[in-house]
Amino acid sequence: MDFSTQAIPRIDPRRPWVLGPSGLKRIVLGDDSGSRDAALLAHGPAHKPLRSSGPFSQRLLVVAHAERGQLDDAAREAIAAAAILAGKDGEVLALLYGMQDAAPEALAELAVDRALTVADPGYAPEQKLALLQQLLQQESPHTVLFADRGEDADLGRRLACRTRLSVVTDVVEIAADGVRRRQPGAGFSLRERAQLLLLARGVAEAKLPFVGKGERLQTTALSAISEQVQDLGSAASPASELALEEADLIVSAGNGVSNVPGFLALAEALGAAVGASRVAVDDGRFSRDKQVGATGKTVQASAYIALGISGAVQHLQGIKSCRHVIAVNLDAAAPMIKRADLSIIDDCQSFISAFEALVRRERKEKQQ
Amino acid sequence: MKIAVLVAPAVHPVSGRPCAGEADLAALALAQRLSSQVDVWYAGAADDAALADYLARGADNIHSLSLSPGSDVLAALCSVLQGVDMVLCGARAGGGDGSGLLPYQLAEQLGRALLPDVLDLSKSDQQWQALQALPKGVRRTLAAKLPLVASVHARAASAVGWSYARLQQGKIQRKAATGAALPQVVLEPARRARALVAASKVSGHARMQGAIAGGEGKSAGIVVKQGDSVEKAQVVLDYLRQHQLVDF
Ligand SMILES: Cc1cc2nc3c(=O)[nH]c(=O)nc-3n(C[C@H](O)[C@H](O)[C@H](O)COP(=O)(O)OP(=O)(O)OC[C@H]3O[C@@H](n4cnc5c(N)ncnc54)[C@H](O)[C@@H]3O)c2cc1C
Repeated sequence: MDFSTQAIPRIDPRRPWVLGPSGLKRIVLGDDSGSRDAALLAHGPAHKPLRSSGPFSQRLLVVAHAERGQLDDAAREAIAAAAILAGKDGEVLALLYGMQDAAPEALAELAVDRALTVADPGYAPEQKLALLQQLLQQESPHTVLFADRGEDADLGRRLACRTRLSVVTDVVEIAADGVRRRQPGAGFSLRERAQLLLLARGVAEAKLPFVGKGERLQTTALSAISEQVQDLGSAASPASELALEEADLIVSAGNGVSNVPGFLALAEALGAAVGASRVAVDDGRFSRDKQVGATGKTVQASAYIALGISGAVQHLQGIKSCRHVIAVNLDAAAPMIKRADLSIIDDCQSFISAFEALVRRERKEKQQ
Repeated sequence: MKIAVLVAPAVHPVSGRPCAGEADLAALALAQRLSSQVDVWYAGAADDAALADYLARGADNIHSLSLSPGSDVLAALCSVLQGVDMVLCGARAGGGDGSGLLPYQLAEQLGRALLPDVLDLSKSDQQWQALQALPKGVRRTLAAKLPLVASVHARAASAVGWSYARLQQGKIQRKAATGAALPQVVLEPARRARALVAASKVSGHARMQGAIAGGEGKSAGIVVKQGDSVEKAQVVLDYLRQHQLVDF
């Protein structure tokens, strides 16, 4: 037999592939276009597919207030809930206060299809209600979602009472048979899904495998509306006087901090609340009400600066919902370093005195 | 000035028995500090024993509007609060639905200004100024004219201590009232709520990549080892400024 004349059917081990619309690798047999590079998929930036390209026949609206130009987890969960509930023909609309500078990609990443971004007017419930009512009329969404905390909870309740939409607050679960809310002292209660839902934390997983379209929504400008209640300005109370649970900036000391007066001076210079790990409390360096963690307090600060704290699970439990964690530790392998967004490998004592001097100097310069 | 305080029994978190609600007690204390003409109102189906805690903690006389279980209290309350200058209530009841909707409904129905989550109220000129509690320790001052509705934050100063003498002296006056029936709800025992999760069509490989990158999809933090303490302090300050976490 003559083998050389017969084409041997062989499979190319590096067959070219293309990335399908769902983000999956597709191999088309007999087609030699596409990529052969295996490394591209493994290490390239994650490619998220579009949730739905339309056409849309129904809409959901999410209303959220951003803090410092960013949405917190509660608001992200509300948007995620809308995106999951929307289905193929549902569009996710968002009215976002304080995100006027957000890029379209940032909006798409949030899984929003069309967003109306407005500068936060501060305390102006009547003005916000007027805008919302206009938006409801223009887009007629079948469901409006708010996170049940802070400004969003307030605006949601106002909207429910003004427009007489059916409302369920403190929603902990959205299921096929209705929505469940926490009933004080009586477990859950099951209700029909209302037009307006105020969502407690954990209703939806904020991490989504898809993106939205991220377009902008337009409405006609509203004329000025008079408020019944006047805002005389707000002030953040000095963090050192605040309960730890309420503080926005916390410096926390662990076993690595031996110079307590120096640490307290840093907290005062920064205007931060004081926390401590259990070891530091048990030693008598701090009072019991300063303890952060499983057997202490659970804090919600935007920034948590952990000085000389190893980051035991019991401690990390207490700082689960802190947005930015900064760790200072001599040990680069401490668990706190894994949790932290910024880690400084340094001796606490010299860092504290350097940081305090820097903060005091910068504050003084700012005042001049 | 006439002030009405709205109270409702809360469920005790440990024993499950009816007791006075934290925010309602704060509203009662605030009202008694502001005026000597304070009327305490309750609307609903609870019996006298459930309201006794409020008598023991400073209410002399409670007007109770008796409604059948499962009916809306809004209409009954609105009819008695029409001529009252200031209505105070707790921001959230610790029993019933505890949805925090009542102050909003009352303000809307009575056409009044609403001051939510108030810690303190004081009079200046023609207006009333309220100190409002916001999350993360921010305090906002709001001003409004009478008549108004204010919901009192649970952190505001609470009522006087429990007293047996006051409990004996206090009275509860009942009056029958009617309200629209609320939709039926089905109660279930509490369990871990199931979160909505988007069905993921990503390949297993990509999912593993995401899992390795750490929780909540964020990449590992920056670690700074180089430099002396002064340079490192500068790095921290730069980080705080970049994320607008400090105001200087
Ligand atoms: C049931 C139970 C409940 C608990 N509840 C809590 C709780 O609520 N809160 C809590 O905090 N803990 C709690 N703990 C204790 C917890 O397990 C840890 O023991 C504790 O958090 C460790 O505290 P630490 O990090 O300050 O001390 P250590 O573990 O001693 O860590 C000190 C860290 O500081 C670093 N360090 C040392 N010297 C320096 C220096 N000069 N400069 C810089 N860094 C330095 C070290 O490298 C180390 O990482 C609990 C434990 C149990 C068993």
